[in-house]
Amino acid sequence: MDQHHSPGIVVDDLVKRYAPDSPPAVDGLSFEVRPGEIYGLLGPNGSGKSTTIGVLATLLLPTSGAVHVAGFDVVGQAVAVRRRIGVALQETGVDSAATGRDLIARHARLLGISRSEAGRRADELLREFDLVDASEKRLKAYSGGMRRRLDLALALVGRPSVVYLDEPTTGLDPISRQSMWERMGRLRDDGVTVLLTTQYLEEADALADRIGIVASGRLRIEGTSDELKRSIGGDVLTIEVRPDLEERAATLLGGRGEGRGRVALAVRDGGAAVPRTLATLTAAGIEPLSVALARPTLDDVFRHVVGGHLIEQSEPQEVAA
Amino acid sequence: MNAIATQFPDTAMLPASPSFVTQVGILLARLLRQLVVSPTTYINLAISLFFLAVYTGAFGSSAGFEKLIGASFLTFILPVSIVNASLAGSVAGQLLVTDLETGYLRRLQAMPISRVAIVLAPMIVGAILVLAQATLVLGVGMLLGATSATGVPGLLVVLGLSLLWGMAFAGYAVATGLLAGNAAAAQAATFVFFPLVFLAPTFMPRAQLQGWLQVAASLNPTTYVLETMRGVLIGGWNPGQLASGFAVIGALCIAATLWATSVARRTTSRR
Repeated sequence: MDQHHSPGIVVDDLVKRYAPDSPPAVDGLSFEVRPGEIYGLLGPNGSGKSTTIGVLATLLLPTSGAVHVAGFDVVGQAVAVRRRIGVALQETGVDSAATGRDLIARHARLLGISRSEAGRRADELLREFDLVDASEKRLKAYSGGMRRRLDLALALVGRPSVVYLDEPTTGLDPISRQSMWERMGRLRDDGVTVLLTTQYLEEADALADRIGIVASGRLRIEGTSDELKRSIGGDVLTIEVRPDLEERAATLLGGRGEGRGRVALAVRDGGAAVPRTLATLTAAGIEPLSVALARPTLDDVFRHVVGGHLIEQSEPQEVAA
Repeated sequence: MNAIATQFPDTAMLPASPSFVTQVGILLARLLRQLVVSPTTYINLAISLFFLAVYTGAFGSSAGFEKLIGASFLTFILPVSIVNASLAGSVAGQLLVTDLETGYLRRLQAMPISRVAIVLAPMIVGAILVLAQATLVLGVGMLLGATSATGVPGLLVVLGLSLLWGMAFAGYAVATGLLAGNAAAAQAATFVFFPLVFLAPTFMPRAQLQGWLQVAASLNPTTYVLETMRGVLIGGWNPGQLASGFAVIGALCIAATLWATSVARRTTSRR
């Protein structure tokens, strides 16, 4: 594979069993993450997300299948992979007796960065992640939010081209989470390939260029957030008219009267349907008082996919743009 | 604002991986710093001196005993206190298992560094701690009146033996700690130390031991460490005894290191 023009991450038919007779934790998973893309991997607990990241981080061996990161095979070229990845996993700890600055600088030294450059890199990351005031404090004094910021800083020490973030904002308050989102968004600006797992669907919605939803170790659906939302049906357009015109408007539009002058109709493409619907009503002499377009949320998609509707599909559903 | 993660575009710009020795050095510095700030380190140092005080207080006033062993009791018992210091080597297992429990080991495993370096660093730390304790005990013993028949070179031999003994005990602690998988078990595994010390010519020469205890002592590697240390402190240079002492402790050290490395490889290998 051409290592300089290869996708950031290629997972091809990955199977992982922890014991020969155990059910697979990952069962034929395939997906690609393009260079510079943030890919959100979503799934319920036990769906195989963390196992997949374990394989990608060269901590676990695949049972079968092929996995390449930055063009390198995670089995045969593990060291080359490790030199190019940054990892912030859920279970990775820190040395609580160390200070934040020591930890980052040591991390840099272990990656081959010179002592003086390691100190500069530590200062740079401490500034970036608002940890300057705590830089000389031992890590046991750090709050949960500070530790997660430090985790992300550690993942970036070696300027990796691929970063894995396994539930990076779990347990953070909304303000800290928002702040982490901004930092993760900047990774995209820097051209870093990011694989993100999260329990917060709004996080994937806000950050991920594309999203894959896994259940029982298999990819069930994949696409951009909008594509996924569209995949479970159209938008809901609700028009409000004078109550005495509701029945006429419902008949005219082929919708359903919901009382108090509101008419609801399902449309395939809300953006295109709004002007068309308004034009139809105006032509009929009915003045719309308000228009509301509701789209399915990622939460709806997740429940739809994981809840069983698509779970019986044998092939992942690729959603067309 | 500067880009926080602008990556190195190709292999040529990636920093060269540090050498194995540098990796061990960086990990070693981290663990030593942990020990320096840990109160347990100083308690261990005090315990070595405590053992010396207890042994000397219990037996040191017996002139008949000193006549029997042909030296001051303090000089005779000093190697036992030094061997006691090997308990400190168990810190190696505890440090590694703590990293396993906290997940820090996992973080290291995802980095491009040697698995052997990850295991070797705590073992060296254990040995350094044993050496520090041995030096302290030896120094205090000399101040209290212990003597060395071979002078300073003999004292260096004693310290060399204690370093190898500490390395062996650290290897044992790493292997058992990783097999057990938790820090408490790593600590509990150090209880093997007691039969090793008490089934040996700890309080009197081997020739004075009776029956099964003499047989057990002759099979116990601790015996040869104690006798070699006593040899240089009391009897003078004895090349045969030195060779057998270093051979036993060397073999033990190699076996423990290989065992620790093998267990650590299994523990840290990808599955």
